Amino acid sequence: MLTGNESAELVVLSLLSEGASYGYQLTKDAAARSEGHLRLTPGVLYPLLRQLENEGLITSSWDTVRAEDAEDAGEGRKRKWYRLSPKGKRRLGQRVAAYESLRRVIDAFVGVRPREEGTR
Amino acid sequence: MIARPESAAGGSSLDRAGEPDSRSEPASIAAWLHALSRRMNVPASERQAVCDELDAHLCQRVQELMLCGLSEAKATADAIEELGEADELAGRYTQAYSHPRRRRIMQIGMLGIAGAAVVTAIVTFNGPGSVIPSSAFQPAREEPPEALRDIRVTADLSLRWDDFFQAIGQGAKLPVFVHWPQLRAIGGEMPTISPDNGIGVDLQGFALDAAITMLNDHANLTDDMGLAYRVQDGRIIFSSQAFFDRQETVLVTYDLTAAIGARKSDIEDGATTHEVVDSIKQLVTSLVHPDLWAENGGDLARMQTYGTKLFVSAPSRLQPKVQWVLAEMATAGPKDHAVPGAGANIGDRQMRVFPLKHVAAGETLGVIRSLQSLQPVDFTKATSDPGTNSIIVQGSADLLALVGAAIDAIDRPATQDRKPVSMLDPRFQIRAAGDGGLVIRASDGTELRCEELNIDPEAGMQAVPVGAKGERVPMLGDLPILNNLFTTPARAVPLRELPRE
Repeated sequence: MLTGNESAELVVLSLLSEGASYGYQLTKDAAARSEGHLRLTPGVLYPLLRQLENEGLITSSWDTVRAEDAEDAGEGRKRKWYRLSPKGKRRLGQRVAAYESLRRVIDAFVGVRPREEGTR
Repeated sequence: MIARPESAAGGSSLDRAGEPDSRSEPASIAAWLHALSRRMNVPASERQAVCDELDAHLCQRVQELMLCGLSEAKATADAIEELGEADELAGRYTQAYSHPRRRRIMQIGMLGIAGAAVVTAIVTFNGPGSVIPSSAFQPAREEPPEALRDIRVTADLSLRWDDFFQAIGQGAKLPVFVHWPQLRAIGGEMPTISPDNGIGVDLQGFALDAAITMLNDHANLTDDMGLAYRVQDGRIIFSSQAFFDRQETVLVTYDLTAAIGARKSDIEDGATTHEVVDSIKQLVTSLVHPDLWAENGGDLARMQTYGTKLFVSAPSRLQPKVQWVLAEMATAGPKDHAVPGAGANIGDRQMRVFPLKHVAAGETLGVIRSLQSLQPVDFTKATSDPGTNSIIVQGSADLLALVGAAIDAIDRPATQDRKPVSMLDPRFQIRAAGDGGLVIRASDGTELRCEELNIDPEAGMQAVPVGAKGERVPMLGDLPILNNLFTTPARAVPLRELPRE
């Protein structure tokens, strides 16, 4: 489960790089992609989306969703769609590169076996 | 398309008084959204958008849970619970709206956190007795100008911002200029600093810097984005930190040869130099005020590389940190991977930032450059940062210790006992010593024998003393800098402090 925006931002930008999406779908995609290990809680996701939009990293638009079995064309439910902006694409590239740098650093340590006693 | 739960249909519209439209929503969702709306400190137009989006989420979630077999009441309760406490969520939204570029350092990305961890590791493993290695960056305190140093700010939270600034000016006996447009812009759509708004914080006897930190914190602003001040042309100027940063932007080039050389093993493993340079840039923009870099969406700092040169255009307060990070990277590789030439001894060299409290960094750098005993120091790689009033020097640990001692001797507060020493002062007499040296004699009989006098119009005048047997007398303990150019008493040394032969 993600508790920090630092990881959530990377995940959200990555998901949006694959196409437009909306909040609820993002939570589902994150869970599905991680086989349930990653849960973008709505309490973290929606303020983060607002922040990313404020920073110009994503753009948004509204459309109206109507029930399939609705008999009339009355008022439906609004849905806010998000898309990755060019600036967001650059940010994602940086985040990915930073993550890969970090992974290389960590790999250099986790592969080290403890020294046997008596050896120098 | 997914059908909306029957009882949840109807949208999240708020009436003019901000009350939920109870005719079309189940009470729990409506009440929760209403509670959230009241707690969010965001523009009214945005509250509706937030509620619409969350309403859509809740409805979809309720429907999904009902498909799993939950009753509508239980599904609604669970969906709301997943969103968390209204207070907490409202706080997150308020923070998200607070400034377009405002993000916490914690949000800079994994590398930033890893970088900090690496720095911590360097500090931790530097050896016993050396909790803070000499090569660690020491954030320089920006000392308030003397006129403001002793001010203590006491103010009621209802005090108007305009009155607050004027009171500071009266306390310091300096005129005040306030960049209101800049300060209003700090809050984006929610200006918090405007003439008639209250400051919002009770301040009791705070130093000015501490008061400003508290005010910024109260307004949910980082130091990079909040209120700041400078004293320029005898006036206190209050504006945004971003405004001053733009004024104080400088272009600096850094040689990446050593930092790239430290990654030689990566290059041998197939990484290209371009990739290594990119990773170096990533580390800098992740660690040094990440919000300000164009690479991260900021607009105050940017960098470009040309070959092994890194050009950094950034506020002067960032440059020492950039320099420190690059120097640390240069020492990150194995010793046997050191680059011949410019980086050959980089593993033995360190960089240190010396923050100064009482004297100007630029002038002090000029003084220590002229010290004979510090000639082994490569001052071509030294610089001063007026923004943080600090001096950055590279060299071996021993030489840096000497530099530190010299700076300590110079960086002293002005006292009544210390008077300017001028070679033009009639109290001093200079005569030939007969052996090619010189003797400087003060009116109190103190004499200093010198083998030479170095006169540098830019750096001041320096006497190099010799002992009775002609040996060079160590200078740094007594710092016999005789200086007829400096005008601030704090930088002068009374002759009676000089060693007798």
